[in-house]
Amino acid sequence: MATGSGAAAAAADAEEKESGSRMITLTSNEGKAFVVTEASARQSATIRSMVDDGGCVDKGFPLPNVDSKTLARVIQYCDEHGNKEAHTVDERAALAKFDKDFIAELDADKAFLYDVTMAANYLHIQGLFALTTQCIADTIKGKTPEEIRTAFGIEYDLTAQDEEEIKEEDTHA
Amino acid sequence: MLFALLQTKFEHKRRSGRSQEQTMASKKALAMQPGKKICMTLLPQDIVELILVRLPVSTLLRCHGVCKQWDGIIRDPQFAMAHIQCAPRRPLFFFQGENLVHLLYPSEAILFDEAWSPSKWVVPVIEPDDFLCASCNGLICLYSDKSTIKIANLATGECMHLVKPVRNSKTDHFSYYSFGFHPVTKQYKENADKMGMEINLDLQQTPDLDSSLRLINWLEYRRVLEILCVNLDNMHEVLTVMNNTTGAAHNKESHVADQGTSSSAVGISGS
Repeated sequence: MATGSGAAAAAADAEEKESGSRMITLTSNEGKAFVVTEASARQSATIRSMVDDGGCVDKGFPLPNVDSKTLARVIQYCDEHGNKEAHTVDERAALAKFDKDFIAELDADKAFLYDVTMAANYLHIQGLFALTTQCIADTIKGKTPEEIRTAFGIEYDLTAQDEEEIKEEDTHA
Repeated sequence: MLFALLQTKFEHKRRSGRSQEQTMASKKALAMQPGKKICMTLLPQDIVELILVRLPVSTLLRCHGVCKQWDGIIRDPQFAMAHIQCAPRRPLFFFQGENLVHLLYPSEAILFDEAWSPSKWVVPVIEPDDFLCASCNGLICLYSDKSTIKIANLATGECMHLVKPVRNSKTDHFSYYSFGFHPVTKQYKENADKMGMEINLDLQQTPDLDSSLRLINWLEYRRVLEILCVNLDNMHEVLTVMNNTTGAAHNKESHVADQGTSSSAVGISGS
């Protein structure tokens, strides 16, 4: 298992020779290159399938839908999950704690949370996507429609008629 | 009429005055920072769906009123299917009404929530002489001596009465009925198979069901995995819990409603 330092772009070639594991370059939409271990990149099903198809590993992968800030955070997740073992109870607990802290930090900045969610969806990083969507779903739980609209900046666009219908349904429910 | 509508709108505005102000404030913030996303509506619909699908039905019922997009998503039958796939199952216990040692026990159902505590808020659907004859996708089919078969949704307390086939009235028995869901045609079928009569319940297309009932039906059907149901492997464990929580429970016969793997096949015999 490689011990590459994720986002460190420098000395990638040297590391590659030392570790014997391939390094993969991911490029954000701002043109910033992130060099990650293959194990880390394989967290993304999108990249995994491209690597397995024997595609452009050397050229790197441009990610036109992801900005640098988001990509850095996504890579942080992938490094943790791709480069670390999760065999023992302790290792799994450590990963669970990482996830908890990771999502707590993201939850504080909703806009960024949505960016990371979209990136996780685009890159098909299942674990990260489940983590962020569950976090957003938890925000919805226990709120009234008004509170939900406020929390998510959703515009109220139901007509009085829609509202009546829904009210009627609510009395059944 | 128009006045009434306006008044409702006004009422609504007054009630939600604070949140509207906040929305306005957040809109202003958005306008001031055009590059900054703060709005969930910027998430693509497929992601919103994948978020909503993680919510329990009780929350989804509230989420209708959030906005048109959410309402549309929640009403979508495909969303209902997706929700069925991923919602957790919940155990339901049904106690058949019976006469034991000259004491009459009415029928009773207990639904367990995520925390394994019995929740009884759905129980009014069950009448004392009901008999659970089938269950499918969270809907249960209740039989009684009356002239109708009842399809009930325990989670919402909704129920629907279906007239029994007339020919059955003299020699009627609960075992004549079964209830199932056809995965291909997406129809619920209640089947009085011994008499060779079938009642098709096409919950989407039956014109005499009003739209709200149709909606509730889709919700019922989404509820599936919410109320359903332990499989028999877990039954022993559940019974133990039951005995601890409700003292008299062990006196009565209990049925575990289970969707089973072949729910689709139930009630679609070729007779």
